[in-house]
Amino acid sequence: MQLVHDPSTLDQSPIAELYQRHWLIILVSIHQLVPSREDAEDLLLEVFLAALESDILSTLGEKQQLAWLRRVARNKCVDYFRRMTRQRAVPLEEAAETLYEGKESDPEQTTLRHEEQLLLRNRLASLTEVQQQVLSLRFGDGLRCEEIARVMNRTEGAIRTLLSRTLNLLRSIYIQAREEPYHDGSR
Amino acid sequence: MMGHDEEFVPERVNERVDWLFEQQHDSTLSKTYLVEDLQSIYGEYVGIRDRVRERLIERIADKATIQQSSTEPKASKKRGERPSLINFEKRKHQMRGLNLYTEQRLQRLELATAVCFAVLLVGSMAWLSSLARSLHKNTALPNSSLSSKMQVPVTPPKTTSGVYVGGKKSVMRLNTQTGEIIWTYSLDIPNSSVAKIIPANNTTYLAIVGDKTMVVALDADSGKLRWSYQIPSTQLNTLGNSLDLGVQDSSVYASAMTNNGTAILYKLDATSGKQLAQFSLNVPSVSGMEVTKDTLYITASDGLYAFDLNGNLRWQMKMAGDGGALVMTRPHVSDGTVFTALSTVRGDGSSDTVLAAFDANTGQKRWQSQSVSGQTFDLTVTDKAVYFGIARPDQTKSRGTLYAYDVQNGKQIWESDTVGAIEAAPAIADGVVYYAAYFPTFPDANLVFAADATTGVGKWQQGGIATGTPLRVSNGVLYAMDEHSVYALKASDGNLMWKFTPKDGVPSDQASFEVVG
Repeated sequence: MQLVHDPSTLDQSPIAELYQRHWLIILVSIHQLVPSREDAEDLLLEVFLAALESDILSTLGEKQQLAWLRRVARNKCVDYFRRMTRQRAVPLEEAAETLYEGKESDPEQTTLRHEEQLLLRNRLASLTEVQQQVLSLRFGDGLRCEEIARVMNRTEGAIRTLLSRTLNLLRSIYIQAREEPYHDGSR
Repeated sequence: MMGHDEEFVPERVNERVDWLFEQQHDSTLSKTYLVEDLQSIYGEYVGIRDRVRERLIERIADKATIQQSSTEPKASKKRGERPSLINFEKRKHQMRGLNLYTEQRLQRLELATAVCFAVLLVGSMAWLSSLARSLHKNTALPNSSLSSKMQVPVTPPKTTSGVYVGGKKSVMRLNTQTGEIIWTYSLDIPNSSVAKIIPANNTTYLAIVGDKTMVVALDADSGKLRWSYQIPSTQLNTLGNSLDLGVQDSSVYASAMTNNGTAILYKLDATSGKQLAQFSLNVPSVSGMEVTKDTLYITASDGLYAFDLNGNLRWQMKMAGDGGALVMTRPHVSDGTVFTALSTVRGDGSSDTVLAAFDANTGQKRWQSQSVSGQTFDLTVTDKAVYFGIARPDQTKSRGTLYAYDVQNGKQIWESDTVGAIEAAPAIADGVVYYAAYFPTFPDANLVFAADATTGVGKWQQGGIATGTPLRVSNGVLYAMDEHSVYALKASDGNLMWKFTPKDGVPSDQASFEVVG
């Protein structure tokens, strides 16, 4: 009986397919809670290793599989925070994760950027999987709308509309954070 | 020059993002921060995706190796042993086996029913035949005459009327007159959407993309599954998937993009879904396809191709954009001619479009129209004219124009401007052309128009429908779909007959629909 997968087919295994389907939504949900990207990466791996070990996962439907992954991700995050509390992790780690460290020398500006990025992470976690996929293909893989349309098998017009609406939605975070304090002096 | 801090609009979102990224150091623009942050976050995410995937595959390989060494001497599973990936797959097979058993039982039951039905049918026909003979024996009608009348050519079954709507979670058939749901078929595939619907042979064929790429055939009467065919994910582009569909005679043709960036064509039996053949086509980035009796026409990012139905190239016309990327509409074959529109989309956001006609047998160009500003997404061909709409970015006055060109020589017949962009092919019936203009940030410009197809003179316009999805017209009813609802308008005056707004899932920004009147 052949028990070892041919290495060339490993990335076609059920667990790899499960990962291919859900990595983004699980990662975004983890990163919403765990600001450190290195830790988020480790937790993402832990979630899918748990899936690999799971007895029950193969008996679930696809929706339930995603729900299972989300639940495990949440539990892993809780465990992570427990560990962090016990280890008294360096509190500056989060600050080191700011996207543009050192770019804004003004402390007030740095705080504002930090707040914006936190809000952005939270808002990203509330987007639909399709919106996240479009953002990932546009900003992560660097594809343009026509290429995304081909990849996702939709019309270019639909992708343009989806992307522009999503960006307008996210943009409100920055407008509120930066412009509200200056409204007519009425505040 | 880009505006200061305006909203993102679909027509120029690519260019706006590029420009903002170049302006990263301009801290006065809130959007530069957004673009910076998104680029940073998703850039990191893609890195994480690849690293975790690699680590995961390593762990799977390690696990499999350990299992092999521990199980080689004795294949039996020890009590308490953790389930392996192999078991994971095996369980799936067992489950499939269980389903297969159930399916086999159902198939047997169906077979028995079919045999009973056939016996009854043959019996009835024999009775009818003898009745006919007895009725006509005095008129000296020869038996052969009756039997020859019965040997009419086999025609495909008529497809039941309905508005077939496919979205993220389900496919529905609606009553064409009332909009009431006749049946719903749930798509139990995560992140799936219906890329194309083809109602034919009383079957609703669906191209489904998402976490699985599938061709599904439903009984058009009942919405019950007839068959499904899953395209192996190993053959598909790992970035995502795409699927186009065509039905010709008794075959379904499905084209998808592979990992190496070329197309693959599957030929399936239209009745059973069984794969009849599979062909690799050396075509990059397919825009669309059309299947005729003997030829498959494909438009791609580098031109127009014609293949025979065994995947052999018959001819190709290589084309390139004029100083930018070439984006072609799907091919439309009519009366021995292939029509397509070629848009050039440039880095600065500008675009222009030409319409072209090619000999369907040789690929030789018959004519090419004058260039117009803007991009088109699809066109409609009649025996007199070719109609297409334009989406034009960066225009405050007119973002769209509908054009009519002479089908014989490519000369423009008329044009009509709209405030919103025209993102879909118009619908034509009874000498009237119907089209929709879409302006996401200016709802008053979201209008559906009806105009005389010969002159372009307007007949009516109706607001409240914001759509870039093609319109359909059938039996005096115009059907439209936007992100929220399906609408039926009286084709004669544009008055709303019914509107269907489902609770969720269908329609959506990624839905498609077809109408059989």
